[in-house]
Amino acid sequence: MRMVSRIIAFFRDRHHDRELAEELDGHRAMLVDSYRRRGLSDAEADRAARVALGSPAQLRDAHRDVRGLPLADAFVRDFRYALRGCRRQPGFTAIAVLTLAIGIGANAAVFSVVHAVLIQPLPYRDPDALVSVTRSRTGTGNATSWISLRRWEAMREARSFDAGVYRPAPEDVILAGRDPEALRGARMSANVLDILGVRPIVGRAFRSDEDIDGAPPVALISERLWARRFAKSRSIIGTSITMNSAPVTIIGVLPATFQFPLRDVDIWFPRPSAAAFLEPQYQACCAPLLGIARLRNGVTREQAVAELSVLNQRYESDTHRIDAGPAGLTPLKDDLVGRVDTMLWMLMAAVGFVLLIACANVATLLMARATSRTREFAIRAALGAARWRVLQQLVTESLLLTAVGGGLGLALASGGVHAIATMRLVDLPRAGEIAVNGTVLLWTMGVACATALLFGTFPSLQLLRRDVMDRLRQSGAGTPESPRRHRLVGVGTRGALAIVQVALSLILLIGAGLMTQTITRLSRVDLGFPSAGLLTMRVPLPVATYTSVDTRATFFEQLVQRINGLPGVRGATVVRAMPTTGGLATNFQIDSQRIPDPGHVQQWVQTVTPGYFEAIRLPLKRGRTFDPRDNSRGAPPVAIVNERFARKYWPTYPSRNAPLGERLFIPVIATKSLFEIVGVVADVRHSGLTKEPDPQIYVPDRLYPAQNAFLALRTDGNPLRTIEAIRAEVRALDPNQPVTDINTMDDLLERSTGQQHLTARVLGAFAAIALALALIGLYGVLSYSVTQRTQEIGIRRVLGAGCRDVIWIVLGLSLRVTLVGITLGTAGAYAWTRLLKSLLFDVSATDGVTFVGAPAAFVFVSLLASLAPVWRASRVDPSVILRSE
Amino acid sequence: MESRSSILQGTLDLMVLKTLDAMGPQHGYGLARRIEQISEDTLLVNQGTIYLCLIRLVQKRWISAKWGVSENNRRAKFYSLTKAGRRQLEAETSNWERLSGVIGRLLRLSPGI
Repeated sequence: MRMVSRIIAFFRDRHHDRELAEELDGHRAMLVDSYRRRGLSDAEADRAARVALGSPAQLRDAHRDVRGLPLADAFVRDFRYALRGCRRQPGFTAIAVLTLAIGIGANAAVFSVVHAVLIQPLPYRDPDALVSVTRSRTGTGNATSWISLRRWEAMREARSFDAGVYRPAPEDVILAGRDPEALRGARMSANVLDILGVRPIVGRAFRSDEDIDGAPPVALISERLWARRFAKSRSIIGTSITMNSAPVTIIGVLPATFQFPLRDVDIWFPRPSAAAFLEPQYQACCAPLLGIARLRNGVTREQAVAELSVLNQRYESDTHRIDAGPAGLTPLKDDLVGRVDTMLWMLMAAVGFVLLIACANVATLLMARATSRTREFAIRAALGAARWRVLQQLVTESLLLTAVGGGLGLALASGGVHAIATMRLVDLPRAGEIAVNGTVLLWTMGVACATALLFGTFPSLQLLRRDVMDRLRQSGAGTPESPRRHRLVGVGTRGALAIVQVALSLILLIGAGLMTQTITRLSRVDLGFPSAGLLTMRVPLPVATYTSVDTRATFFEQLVQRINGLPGVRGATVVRAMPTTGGLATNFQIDSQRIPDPGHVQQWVQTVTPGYFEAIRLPLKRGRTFDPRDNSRGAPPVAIVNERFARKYWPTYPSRNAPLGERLFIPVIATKSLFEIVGVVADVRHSGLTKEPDPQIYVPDRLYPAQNAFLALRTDGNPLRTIEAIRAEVRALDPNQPVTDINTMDDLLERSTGQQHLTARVLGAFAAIALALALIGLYGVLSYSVTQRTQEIGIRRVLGAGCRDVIWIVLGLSLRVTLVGITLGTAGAYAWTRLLKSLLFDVSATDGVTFVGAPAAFVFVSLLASLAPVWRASRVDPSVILRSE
Repeated sequence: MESRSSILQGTLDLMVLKTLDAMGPQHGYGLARRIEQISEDTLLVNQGTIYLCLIRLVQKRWISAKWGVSENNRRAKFYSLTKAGRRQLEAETSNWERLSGVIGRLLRLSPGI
């Protein structure tokens, strides 16, 4: 009963205060009346009445405590007070809130990503039993292992696990209709959905007989496509639509959350090896597929791996094949996110540093504010406020700042999260799951509270440490610095905070330095040809309409002719794959040497239209390039190899004539004829800037044009301006033919080193913020110290200290803070940059230049930050000081 | 506030209830004066303190408050006993009598026993 009244009273505070005040006024009036009747003068009566009644303010507070909720009441009052305080100092408030918003927002954003990608279990049934089939025993390179359809069939005999296969690359699908559109497709074996434990929200999943060649083509579509294109109509199930010029029956819709094996897939097909742009003869033996498996109940990963190796041996002895075989099983999550987890944890640490620096900054601000409010606190203490009440008020103030900063930070974070999830620089796995969800909110609140406590503690400690009454006696508003022996390396609490800032920002600076060097070195790597000004795009020819080699070759020939005729185009060419985009690696044999063993070694084979080398400007080292005659029907097959290839198989190169005139057997292209090598060209880093150049074979396009080839061209001026003209030319050749994946070569290269670029940018930004905050912090410490020690400096001047001695007082403090901070920071960076190691290129994680240069630069800028305080100290006029005392 | 001498607080409560019972509705000033006269300043730190007791009793629904006009024409809040307050007073009174009887007997005991 009473509690209810108290709660009601708490919310009707003002009303009760007014009633009480009125009551007390009446009471006092009656007291005055009675004293007057006793013969006191008006003034005496009034005074006596006030004494008899007691202090109305104290009574009001006591009354509130009795009738309401004292703790909540105090909080509300503190809150209002804090709000007033903040409004009185808009500059301080804005800086503190903004600093906290950046710190908390960056944390929330990166944590959302880390949580969704690394922490959250995979959104499948019993995700711990899911594994990826990995790492061949004979091959090297990728952790994941390519599996052919035949090998998968052998793996299906396993009793300890169920294996499925999928194609890891997206497939361009053209959906015919009123307005044709290009969709992102994916292929997986019929049992993959079962393995993952995902069911369609409408319709049915694939049946195993739909995996077999010749089965009627079926597809599952995404919820997004279902809504966008079919208005969520259930009648679409079972109907046939035209995709890539062939009819396909839609059998079901997969939920929007389903992002396997890639994000933003709109349509899934069974028969993983039957990728629309893979030449038919390839499909069963060599289609590069990846394996996924679910361990059966009670089976450990070791048992499953043991059975896999038994199956491998049987398969290899049965088929006499030693193609790359799968040997390991890795937890699916590790395999999916393994390539980004270092980067993400590293970024998480970096935003942690930024938040700590922000905390130190706000703590310094609050301390400065608390110092100027010493008298206020002292007076409150003298009026009877308990120490904990004053503390409570300080904590309330920090909480208010953090709440506002945190709220703003969350707003920043949700924007940032969207940018991260949709960025093109790094193809983040599980990007579709990234969201500012309950966990992230909870975590952010936790971080914010910890932050408030962390930076709120310092001014409170300062307050608790000293005798309150001491301050009331003081004439000035400031507090003297505590005696030297209490101070950490003689720099005080502020100094310690500045040291922390210097150390953390140096860590970030060193990280940014290493990444910047990586980017610089990457940009200096010679790709093999100039990438600038080269525009690339894909022209995916549907298998149904471009089945024969001739139709494809003719299309490309005409396309190159038309594009070359466009104004501003300096050379166009069609090629199977641009650097960093994979391509065709196939078996071959050198006719004269009978090496290597076919089926054993694979090298990149590029099919190009004549003019390729001229268009991309790849230097010719020997012999000749292709001319149009080489690409005509019935021309004798010719090939060009690169220097890496020539050196590998003809160690005498370049001193002898070889390999010119040598002949190559490339069974995938032609089994009845040999390719004569007519030229040698410069090396290209086809696998990316961070890899060594690979041996390559180039052959004219005519015999084996790609289904999904690249069109590459050089233009005068901005290459992106020609895109519309190119589309028009493609439409003129075939009105249904789309152009996809339009990128400059520089974009492709940047994306292939996307993690490095992203990390460099993020660390660069963080380091810049941190450096600025640290310098502001250092400047604050120094100028505060000069203000505090003006008297001391004045007295020293009077006693004969020179300008130099005075300068050293300030400079000494600056150097102490900077040097201690740098020492700690360098040690911290030494530990932290290990995380960066896998992202670095051509730079050591403990690179001497960076580890010496960054601290040296820091000392230099910290000296700059000391200039103004030093100047002020040197200008202290002794006479003014003496007069002021 | 409530933790401070609960015996004193209980006594003050009882006195306010008894005074209202005996004298009818009263304002704070009247109650304070009456209690000062009886207790000789031991129960009230100052006259304002009476309002802390009054709001507590109002919240317990033992007394009710109504604005009115005092004998010398001043607006004042008048407190009067509620039914629950009367019941409480009766219970407290018998309690008190029993307790004071016990204490009295205890104090009359001679040290020899």
